[in-house]
Amino acid sequence: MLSWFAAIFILLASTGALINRDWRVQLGALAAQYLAAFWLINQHLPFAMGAAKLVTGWMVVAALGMTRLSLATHVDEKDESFGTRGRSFPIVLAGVVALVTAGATPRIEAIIPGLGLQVIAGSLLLMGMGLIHLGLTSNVFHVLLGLLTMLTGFEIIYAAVESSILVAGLLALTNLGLALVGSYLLIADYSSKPIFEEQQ
Amino acid sequence: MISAPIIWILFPFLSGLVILFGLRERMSALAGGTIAAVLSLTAMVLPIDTALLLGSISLKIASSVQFFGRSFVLHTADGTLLAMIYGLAALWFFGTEVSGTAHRFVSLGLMIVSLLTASIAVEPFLFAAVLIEMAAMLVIPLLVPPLQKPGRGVIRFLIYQTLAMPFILFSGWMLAGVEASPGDIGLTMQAGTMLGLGFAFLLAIFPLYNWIPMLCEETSPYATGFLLWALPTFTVIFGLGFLDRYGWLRTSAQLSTSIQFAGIFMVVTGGIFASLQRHIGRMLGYAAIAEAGLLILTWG
Repeated sequence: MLSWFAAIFILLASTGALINRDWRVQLGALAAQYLAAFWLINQHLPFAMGAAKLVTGWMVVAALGMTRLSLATHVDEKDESFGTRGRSFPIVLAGVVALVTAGATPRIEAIIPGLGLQVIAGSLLLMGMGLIHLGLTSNVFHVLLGLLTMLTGFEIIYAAVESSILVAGLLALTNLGLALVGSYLLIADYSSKPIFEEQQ
Repeated sequence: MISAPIIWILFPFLSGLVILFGLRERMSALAGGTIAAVLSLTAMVLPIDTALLLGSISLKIASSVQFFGRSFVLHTADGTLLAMIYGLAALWFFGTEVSGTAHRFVSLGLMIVSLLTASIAVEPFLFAAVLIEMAAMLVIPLLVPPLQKPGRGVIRFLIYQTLAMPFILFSGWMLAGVEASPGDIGLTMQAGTMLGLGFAFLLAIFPLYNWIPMLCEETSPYATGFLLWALPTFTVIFGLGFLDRYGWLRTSAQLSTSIQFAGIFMVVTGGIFASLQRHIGRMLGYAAIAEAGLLILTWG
């Protein structure tokens, strides 16, 4: 039962990250996704490995948060954000992902029995939402959110079929590497833009 | 006794770190080039897994090393390949003296080549997808100098390389299922499609190659040239591992036709689009696509 809550939590958090334009909320939603993913991963992997993935995820969030915090507000940040196009379109897309997930989950469970409906649903939701992030914008921060969301979804389903410590470690390194590369790209991107004072 | 993966994977990776944090710009090209050249010569002269007698001393390079329950193995037959890889890397590194980007290029380049070498040594071999992804991430600082706005080509490169990894890892798991029940046509199709998509992202097969001309236009041609040499070379070796491991893939007529079609399409479109460009970087990009098409054609 709790696993279904985790899947619903994933739906809410990933939709929140998709429609909200504030980077703090988006990173909070990413951290929440990692928490829900940890719960689903624990269905198939030992607690210690799941916890390692959770800690890695939160380290990723911390790295991106610290980088973003150190950057001032820039004039074209809002222009590039998909928030300015209205929230209805991302909400519709999130609905499409939810529908596809609802339709595909039982089929995948039939093809690969034993994974668990909740695990498949959580994984598909995250992969779908990640792909929507990637498709909607070329903003570095949103691309990173998309890639990390998509990878988290993949890790949930892959944990069910592969329990190797080496793979878990390499995937954790990949997540951390993405965060570091993302921080590097964010700094490079923002340092080339005009700086404006924080409005708060 | 020392292990081959320590010599050709760990040592160059650590050397890259030392050059990055410890050496000045002037020394980097010489140091990195020399290290790669020595590694190339070592691979040529010293056979792996064979005892050599130097007077009273017996010297043997072991082929494998265990890491977190999995093996990294470099066989005797890999010696020639290692010699070629590190020999070519040495040429790239010595050349940075002229390009003026020695420090970043050589240090990151050594780490990239060592990770890609790890990708051909890791067992089970499909874990190579993760190592290739890590190498691709190290390429980013090579392509985007500090405080320079990253272009769309770099972002797309990162996206495509990252998308490739899940497809290949999951297809590897499905292929094991196909081996267990070879008559399951549905599973075979699904595994083949996933594998094809993974390699289409990794090798930038049509229509997923649009980042190459963008990258060639936006970034240093020397760095892009290194990327377009290193990644496809190791990806092709990785792909050959799949063909070697799964006999039914090797003998599949449909797969062979698909690969040939993709290769020809890339050669033709690369050539046509190159002829329409005015920017020499983009022209180089389309030429690289056409060459990758030839490489893929040889698979088929």
